[in-house]
Amino acid sequence: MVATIKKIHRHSENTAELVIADPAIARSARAGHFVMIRFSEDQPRIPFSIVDASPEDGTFTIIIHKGARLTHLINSLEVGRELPNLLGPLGQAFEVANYGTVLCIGDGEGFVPLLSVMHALRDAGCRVITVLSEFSEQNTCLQPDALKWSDDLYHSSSKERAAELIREISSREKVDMVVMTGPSDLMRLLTETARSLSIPARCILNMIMLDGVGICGICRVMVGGERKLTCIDGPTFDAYQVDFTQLLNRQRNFV
Amino acid sequence: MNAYQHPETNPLVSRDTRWREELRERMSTRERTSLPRVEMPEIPSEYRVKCNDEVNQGLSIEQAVLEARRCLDCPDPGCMKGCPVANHIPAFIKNVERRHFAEALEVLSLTTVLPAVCGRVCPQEKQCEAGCIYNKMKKPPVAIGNLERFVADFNREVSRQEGYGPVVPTVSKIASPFFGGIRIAVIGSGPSGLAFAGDMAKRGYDVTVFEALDRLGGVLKYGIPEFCLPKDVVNAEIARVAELGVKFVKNTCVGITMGFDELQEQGFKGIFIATGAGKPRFMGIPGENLPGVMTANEYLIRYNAKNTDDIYGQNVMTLRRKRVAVIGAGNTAMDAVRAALRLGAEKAMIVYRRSASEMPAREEEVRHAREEGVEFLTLHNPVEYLADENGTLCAMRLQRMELGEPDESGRRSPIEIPGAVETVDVDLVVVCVGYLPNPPEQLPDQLRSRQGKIKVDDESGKSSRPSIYAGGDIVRGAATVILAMGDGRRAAKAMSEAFEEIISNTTLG
Ligand SMILES: Cc1cc2nc3c(=O)[nH]c(=O)nc-3n(C[C@H](O)[C@H](O)[C@H](O)COP(=O)(O)OP(=O)(O)OC[C@H]3O[C@@H](n4cnc5c(N)ncnc54)[C@H](O)[C@@H]3O)c2cc1C
Ligand code: SF4
Ligand code: FES
Repeated sequence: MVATIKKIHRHSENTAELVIADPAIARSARAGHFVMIRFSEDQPRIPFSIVDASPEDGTFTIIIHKGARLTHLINSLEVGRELPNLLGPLGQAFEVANYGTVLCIGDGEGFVPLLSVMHALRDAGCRVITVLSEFSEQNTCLQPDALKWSDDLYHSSSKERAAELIREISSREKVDMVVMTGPSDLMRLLTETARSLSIPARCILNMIMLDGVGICGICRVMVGGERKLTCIDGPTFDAYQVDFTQLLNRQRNFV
Repeated sequence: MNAYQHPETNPLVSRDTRWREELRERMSTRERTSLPRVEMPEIPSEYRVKCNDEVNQGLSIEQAVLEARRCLDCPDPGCMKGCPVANHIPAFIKNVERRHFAEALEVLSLTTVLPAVCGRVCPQEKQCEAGCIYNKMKKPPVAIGNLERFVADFNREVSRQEGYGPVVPTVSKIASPFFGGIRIAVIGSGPSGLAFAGDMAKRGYDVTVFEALDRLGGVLKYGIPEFCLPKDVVNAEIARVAELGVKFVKNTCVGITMGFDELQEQGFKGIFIATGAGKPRFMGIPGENLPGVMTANEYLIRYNAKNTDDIYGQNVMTLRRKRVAVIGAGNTAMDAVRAALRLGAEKAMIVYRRSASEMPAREEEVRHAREEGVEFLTLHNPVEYLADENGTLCAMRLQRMELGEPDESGRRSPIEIPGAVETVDVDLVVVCVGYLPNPPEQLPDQLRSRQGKIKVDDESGKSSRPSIYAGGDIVRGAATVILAMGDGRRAAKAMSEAFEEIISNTTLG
């Protein structure tokens, strides 16, 4: 059975939420998993986080949110379109447990991978506090989704402010874990802050991928001194262990 | 009960048929051996490095017939012993000599599903052609690989022009429908999986191949570039396997997107694992994660997809670098370094820690690389990659080596020359120092070796689980197309015999 697009919510020119019918993926998807999709032969294979899944309906949801480069693609999608090149769910699922109070921080553009994790953590009984960093007009549409799984919601206008918020919030109440995603420089800063406060931290990395099954090595990252592949060992890692400086260098100077 | 016709009794390959006898008598051994080996026509190197066209142009009909005449149709052919799948070499070559090209393909199809591929990428000089009687006469062996390729290409072209579907091996017609109810799963669509699938389908089983990627063929597709192995050629051979009734399911990574339990639920009674050794290896030296250092898989996947994929806006253009160094000297390394020239590199280097005579790549590929202007830095081993002020690769530090005393295996191992380290400027490094096996997730631990290979019986390919067989690079570590195919064929034979035994031991009541 070929996966098909069931519903499309166009939030803005740059953002679309796709509900895709694929019973097998809907059944096995867990928080933190992603899929690889090639929308057409002349498109690259792109990873998308699974933000929600409904085994009953046999569907799962992704959010295409990639700025101008995929605008054309977003406009060309229609309900009923078949997606023959869809692979997933991939990656290691987020380890879900009742950790207590979890602070979830993501940057506007890159907030998407956090949604399924917040949902799962809430279901597991965690108190979820969300910090939306650097939100712009373009992605305010994610706010209702984020709100749905948050006990508390903060905004920050900059990376530095997001780091400050960790300090402020943890001075008021005990924070048991920080989960973050977004650009690597934000994650590096947040990790240092969490480390200085001795709060365990998880990061969901955002790496370029080609195959998604561990063949090309493009998504490699050093974690605790070992070479890991984001597509099969990640995308979630213990943030303390990730070599963000090297990661940033690889992303900034991509060859 | 086995409907699969045993080759020795098959008139297709018998040496005692009338026409073969006549053909043998038509020319004397002296006449045959005085013919020079027909050289494969190639595109000149100045032109070919500017395009992606296949370098070897293939033999014409007359060239192929001429070369086929050289074959002496030996009673005990040495070439067949050197072929890992035991192709009926004299039988197909004699069919070329009498211009029965379709029958030549039928003969090859008894033992191989990928003749056009093997004719191109097999290391014939170490296999069939090494066993050819001509070597004993100090003459160049019969060009078996070139002839194999000719037969496959000729028939493909005929069926394309006449609008027929793929030419299907006749054996499929005699397969018994008896096993049609037995579902067999194959994991991985590389040469090993394809060979296994083809053989099981010929024997009448209901075979489904699962492939993690969105294209079939494994390394043949994502690794080996067009100028060595055109993708159309691979597609046509896969189409022949599909024509035998094999089903293909792409975008399914067994163990990740589909569990082994699901395979069982879907009624698969036998599983063949052929997931290859696609996991890239690094040397573990400083700087390997610098931008500008990448694996051969990344480089070749992006090179092969250059007309379609652009990765996040950073398409193949960013791979166009002036000075490219490829670490290693296997087939993968030769493919990568030759791809670099085609992407416009001014300096394309092979860096290899042993000497030229130890290079594992096929002879022809090394020669092609030399002709095209690749520099060989043999007896050099990278020890570090250096970055410029922006953090991008700019140079590599190479340790000079010399060959020491032979070790137990008789190979002289390279040892460092103390203090002899040089720095060479470079814009892109492609690391091709081998691969690690790719065992599927969820595989029971007891089936895996410490290096991640799957442990099987050498002869049958059977693992310690009676329903699971494995072959190809996942068992051997990175090897060759033909060895992978050979494994697939032996496993198909063993698995089908296991089913047959169960059935023949079953009584009613
Ligand atoms: C660049 C390059 C050049 C080469 N040149 C030559 C040459 O000239 N001559 C030669 O003889 N050999 C050559 N080789 C080696 C040869 O290609 C391999 O030995 C051969 O392809 C191995 O076949 P295989 O079927 O075992 O595995 P592969 O060809 O690696 O195929 C394995 C397949 O399984 C799929 N897979 C993996 N895991 C899963 C899973 N869990 N579920 C589903 N599918 C899965 C993979 O995506 C892949 O398609 C070359 C290799 C490379 C990389
Ligand atoms: S398959 Fe390879 S070894 Fe066998 S005959 Fe052909 S070229 Fe030779
Ligand atoms: S995407 Fe290729 S190894 Fe991860």
